Amino acid sequence: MTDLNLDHIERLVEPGRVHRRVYTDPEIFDLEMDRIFGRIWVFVGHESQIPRPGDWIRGRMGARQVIVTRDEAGALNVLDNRCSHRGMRICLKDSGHSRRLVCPYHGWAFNHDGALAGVPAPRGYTKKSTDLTDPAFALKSAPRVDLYRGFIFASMAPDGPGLVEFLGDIAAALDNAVDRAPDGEVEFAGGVVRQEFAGNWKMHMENACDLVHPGYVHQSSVDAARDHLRDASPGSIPQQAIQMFNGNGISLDEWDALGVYGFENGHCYMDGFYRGGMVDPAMADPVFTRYRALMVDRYGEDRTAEILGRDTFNNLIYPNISINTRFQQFRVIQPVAVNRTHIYSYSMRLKGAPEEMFEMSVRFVSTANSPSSPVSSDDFAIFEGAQAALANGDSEWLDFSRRLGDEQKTGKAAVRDSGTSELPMRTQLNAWRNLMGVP
Amino acid sequence: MRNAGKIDDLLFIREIEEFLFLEARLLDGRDFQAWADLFADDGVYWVPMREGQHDPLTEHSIFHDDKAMLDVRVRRLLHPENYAQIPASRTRHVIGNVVLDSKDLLHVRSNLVMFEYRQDAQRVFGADVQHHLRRAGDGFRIVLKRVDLVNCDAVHGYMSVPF
Ligand code: FES
Ligand SMILES: [Fe+2]
Repeated sequence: MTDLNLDHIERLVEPGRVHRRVYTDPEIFDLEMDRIFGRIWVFVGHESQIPRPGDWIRGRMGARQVIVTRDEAGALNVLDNRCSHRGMRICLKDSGHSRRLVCPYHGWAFNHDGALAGVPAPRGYTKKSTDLTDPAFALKSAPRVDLYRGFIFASMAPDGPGLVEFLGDIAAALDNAVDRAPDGEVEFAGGVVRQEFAGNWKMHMENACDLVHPGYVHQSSVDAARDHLRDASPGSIPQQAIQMFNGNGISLDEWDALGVYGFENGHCYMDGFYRGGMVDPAMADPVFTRYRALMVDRYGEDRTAEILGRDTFNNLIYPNISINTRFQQFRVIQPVAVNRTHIYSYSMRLKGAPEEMFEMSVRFVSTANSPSSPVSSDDFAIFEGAQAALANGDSEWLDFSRRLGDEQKTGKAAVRDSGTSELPMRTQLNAWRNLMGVP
Repeated sequence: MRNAGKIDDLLFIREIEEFLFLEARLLDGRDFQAWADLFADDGVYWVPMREGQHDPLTEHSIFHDDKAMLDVRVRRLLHPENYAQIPASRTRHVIGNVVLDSKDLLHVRSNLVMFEYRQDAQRVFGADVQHHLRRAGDGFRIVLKRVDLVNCDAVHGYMSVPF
């Protein structure tokens, strides 16, 4: 037991350590759903998933299940997937197209902006207490929905910083994801890969820029890839996933030659993975050469070099997005319960690029970000082991103090440190503390 | 005369079944290297993520291994510091309903149930399996093994032992 109570939630996060309840307490999880996922900008989908009026997809804002729609006027709406009559889930599939959103239970029909459009057998409802024109019978909608270069975000708070302000410097990662398309647009394609692990959602975010762990957790896939490449026929270009497994095998000094960055609002990334660490022989692939030529046609040599040279890896948008632009990967970390998390992985197709670029991206996801991944399965095994161990209350605190105080200010709203610093986790936990401390 | 042809067919199906049973025994015995050796050099091990999926290159899959990736996968499965396999899975592959989709092309179809026990929990997978085989000496090599899981599009936990 601890004397820390939820009125003083900020005491659970100190500069270099965090209380284990942050990962294990169901009440804290519920508060996170209100104070983080119920307030700040949360990614809910990509425009390419709902191109036409009448299209909709299901999405999540933390535990809240939503429908993201494009209405007749072309506007985007984020609605609770819960009927205003007696609470039935309205959309039963992951995506669809329809003129109205019709509840399967008693047939109430809603427009794509959430307004109640029609009620079968209205007389019984409207006689006395029920006024169907009352806006309370519209589907609850997110008060703010905004788009950044095709990525749809929503916020359940009626006011607060705008999306661009919230993203700050990490917007550059979304820019880079889109700029890599010769036609300046990406689409989510190939279907979503959904995985789960029995651990807290923050573990996945904290692990993504933890550059000490690969040398330990991923030793088996590092050795496997290295030995494979040693024995492979010379001259063959290995697929990207195998190169990435191998790339995890650099030394701690080499990881330290990379940088990790923390930004306002909890965003982070690491840079220099290709320059300082692994080589990227896929660049020599003929497909990549053709793709690069298309980019030069469109943007010119200098701008192309700048776009393709942006070497940031695991770009993390707080609270739950991880983007890897080099492999056209977009991942969403979905909290389900305090000890259960889903991961959704998407491939981004670069419009105007050779189709083989997309095929490489799909192959990368199927190999490195799928349930069979030799890399992420080790991460998940670690998260599950940590979650199970944290349930035991004997030791109350987790340590996040590696290189605490060594970070350097760089730019307006950013700090940087050497690769193996625990700066990225502290950045996220600071944001957590700031958000969770506001009742 | 008709019976003689029938017996030939039965013997042939039996030969194929024995190959499938051998494959299952190698997986259950964690002899992953010998399992990967059953694949032709151009062989593919594919577990789609969607019912009726046509293409592993334009849609994501649960497994999509060429021979190179199979080699990496097997080396890792046998690595002592493979945390997803500490403790190791214990599996039992059960194969039934074996039919020849095409005798000439050596396209075989079967049903698979795999029990997997690990860390106090048992998982059960069911699948429709297609093998495309090629004659090699007096045995076979796998050109394609496609495993359509009943729950292919579920939210999955991590997977280690191939189906
Ligand atoms: S619950 Fe939706 S119409 Fe009754
Ligand atoms: Fe990892």
